[in-house]
Amino acid sequence: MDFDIVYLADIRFPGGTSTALLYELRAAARAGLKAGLIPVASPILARSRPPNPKLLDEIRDTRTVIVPAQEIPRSRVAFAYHPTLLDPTLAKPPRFKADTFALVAHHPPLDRFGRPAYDAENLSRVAKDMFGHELSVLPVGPTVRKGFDSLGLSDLLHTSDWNNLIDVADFAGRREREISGPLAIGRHSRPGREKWPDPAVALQAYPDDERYQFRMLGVDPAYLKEFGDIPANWHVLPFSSQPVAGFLKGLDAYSYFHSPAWIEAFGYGVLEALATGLPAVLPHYFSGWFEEAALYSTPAEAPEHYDRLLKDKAFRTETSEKARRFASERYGLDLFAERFGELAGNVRNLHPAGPSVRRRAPEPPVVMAVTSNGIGLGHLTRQLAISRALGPGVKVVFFSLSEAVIVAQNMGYLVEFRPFHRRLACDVKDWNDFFYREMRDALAFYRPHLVSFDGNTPYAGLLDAVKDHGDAKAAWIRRGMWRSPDEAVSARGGSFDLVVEPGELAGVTDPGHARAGSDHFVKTDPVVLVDRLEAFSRATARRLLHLPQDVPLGLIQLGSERNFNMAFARRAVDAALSRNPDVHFVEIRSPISAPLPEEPHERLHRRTAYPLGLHLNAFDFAVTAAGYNSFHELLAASLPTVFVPNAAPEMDLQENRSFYAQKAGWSLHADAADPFRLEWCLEEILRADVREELRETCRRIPDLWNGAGQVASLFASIARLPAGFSESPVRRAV
Amino acid sequence: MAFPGNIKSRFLKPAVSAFSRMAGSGKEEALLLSKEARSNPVALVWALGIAEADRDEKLTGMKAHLEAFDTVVVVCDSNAFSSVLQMGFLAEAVPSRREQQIHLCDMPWQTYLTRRISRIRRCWAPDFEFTLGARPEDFIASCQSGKHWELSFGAAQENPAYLEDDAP
Repeated sequence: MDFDIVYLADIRFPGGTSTALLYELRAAARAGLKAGLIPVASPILARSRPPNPKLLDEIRDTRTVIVPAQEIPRSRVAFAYHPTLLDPTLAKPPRFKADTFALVAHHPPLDRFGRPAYDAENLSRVAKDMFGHELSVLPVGPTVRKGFDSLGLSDLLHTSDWNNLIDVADFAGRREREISGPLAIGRHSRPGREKWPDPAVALQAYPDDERYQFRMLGVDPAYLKEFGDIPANWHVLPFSSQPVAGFLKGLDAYSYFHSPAWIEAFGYGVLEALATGLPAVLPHYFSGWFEEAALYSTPAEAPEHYDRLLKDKAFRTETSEKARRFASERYGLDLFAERFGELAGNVRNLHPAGPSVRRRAPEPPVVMAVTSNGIGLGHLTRQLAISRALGPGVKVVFFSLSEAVIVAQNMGYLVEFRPFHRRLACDVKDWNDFFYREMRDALAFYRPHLVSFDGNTPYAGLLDAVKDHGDAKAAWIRRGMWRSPDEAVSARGGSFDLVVEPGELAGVTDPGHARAGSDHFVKTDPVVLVDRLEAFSRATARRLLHLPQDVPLGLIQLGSERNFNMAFARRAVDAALSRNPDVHFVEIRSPISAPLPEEPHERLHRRTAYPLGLHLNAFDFAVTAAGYNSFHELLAASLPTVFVPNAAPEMDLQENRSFYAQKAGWSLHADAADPFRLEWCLEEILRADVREELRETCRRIPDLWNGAGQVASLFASIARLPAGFSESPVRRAV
Repeated sequence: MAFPGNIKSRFLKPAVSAFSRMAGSGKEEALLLSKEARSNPVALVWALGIAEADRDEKLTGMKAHLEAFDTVVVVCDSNAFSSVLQMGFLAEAVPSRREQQIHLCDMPWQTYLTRRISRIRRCWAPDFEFTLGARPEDFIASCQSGKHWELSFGAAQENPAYLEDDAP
């Protein structure tokens, strides 16, 4: 694979580093340069932090290629996009060949008190030994340059700074208004303590004065506790609680002061304010790169600037126009092409051919799909949906505890089964030792790029094996709707590189227990195995299932009934059969259930069908439990349904799904312990007008069924899989 | 091994139990056996290289004899083993030769399966082994030897320090 630029970047940074990369990708695309990206995990971020969703969108929009792991890309320039990525502890340094290798230094090597922020002195050595290239350092501004100079590392520095860029078009210019009340002054940053002045200084810079109103985005509640009373004119908002451009547009001015321990390498937030056309009041050292575009002062003197801005409209207008013009001219995207040309032409590499790299075998990358379960299919079904979305460029190996794993083999996947302790009744610790050894050998044998686990509890044996192996990324598909919190389990999310919560149509009723004690996760749309367009026609589905063509057919799927009594639901079906001589029911049984000698009623048929979604057009209505997959597949297929939730204590909150769907008008809900309601629901669902109404309401559900594709995209981005990275964007990462 | 067809199953259980006790415990590493199961006879049935229908027929024929064992584990090279579970046995599975050939055919399956089968024996510590199709060693010999790759291990580290410019 050949590129103009390859970025080695951690796509999980939540703040300025990702913003800078986002704009560089956009600038490169506009300049006609082909960019590739190799995700590298910085050791300073928590392992489970998900990719930055805005950056993922930009990668997709600019058609930036995430370089598959088995490829060794060649490029004119390769950038390491944060100093901490040149990390000697990396288990697997990325391989690439570049004519020029440069580090974009987004952070000064020393803090205000001269303490090292990273190991600047060994950057060059690590670049040479582990990445196989000589290194040139591109400071993002004078602060970083001075830091390298002070360490005697000037010879590493490129002659020019590599300033951050911004697309001014992303920030609608503010309109000057007549100010009759207080001057609206804002600031925004991530909520790190270092971004805030000490309380006494904060009260100087942001005083309790009714002439000013301070709007602060990104305030950590812990910081506010340092104050006795919070000034009445402070309006504080959590980080990312509203879009930055909209927040800035509502301001009259901007003011940014921070902790004395902190040195700002650049200040993306400030640049965003300038791009909006906000007069900005800043500490003096910012003048080194924002020059005449801002106003400078000490915190104590800042109110003098506010006063003038409040009283002098002409000054306000002049400062505003200057700021926006400066942002565009000095840091606009148009500057990128020339700057890139200068770098690609000027920096010489002592080893232009790059390192000698032994090629991996050209086999497709492997994803190991690990699923829990004894007899159920829920976890397995979601993994199958994601595996299909990963596409043929990825080899998925199922390593499953499900006794129904044959369904994955039947869908064309390599399958390995291991028995689960619940059936064996063995000691759980012993079983974890067993599972550790099995996983360990399988990881060494298959050498997966990614281990994807779908289950409620990530087993100790699994976590230990993945940790010891070190090479594979790990993801946890963690279905929500937990019945109770279990922090010890949900906190195991910290052992994964990605925690995904598959979307729930009834998500607003989820108490969120799965998230307790878990910092990071990504929500997607609901994951369904079968796309509606793939389903067989009504006639074909009935023919394949050997069912009559011309009768009303109801689907029954009440689960194994081992842990929950569905007797009333069965009786309601029997009653419906007796009262409606033309109606047939079809009970869909597990693909691994034992064959039964005969059908219990001439109009009650028993069949197995997997994936059931392919056959749903065969049915006129359904009576089913409200497990994740059934619930979403039936609603996606707009099949009128009576949901009878399995409310056993070990199950997810099926009743929340079912009840919510009834309130939304998508389906009917019946409690399994309420025979009267069950009979009423059966009578209702047998009415054509009721079914049509339910079907119509379901059709109005927005098209939100691409969760599997979104998960596959996330997998591709963290594990460098060649799966198409073109799916629609995921919902907001948390 | 196999029992003679004419042996009475009612004599078999005490004999197997006595043999199991005489053979000593030796089951400390039998991770998949409960504490109670470790003191009772265990049989491992190798059902490799045999069609599922033949396997089930043979297992049905052996059922009376296998009832002499408290734990019976059937090791299949097929993932269609629900019938085995429905007979009341436990199941283990390894990829069949056909599956190996379809998927990742140039992998060193022989080494992998030698290790896997050795772990199966260790985890169940059987007192008796029965073979319905190919012997495990013959099954392994028939698998692809593949090529051997070097393995790399290492653990990631975390540093809570935070070094980033701002702007959400």
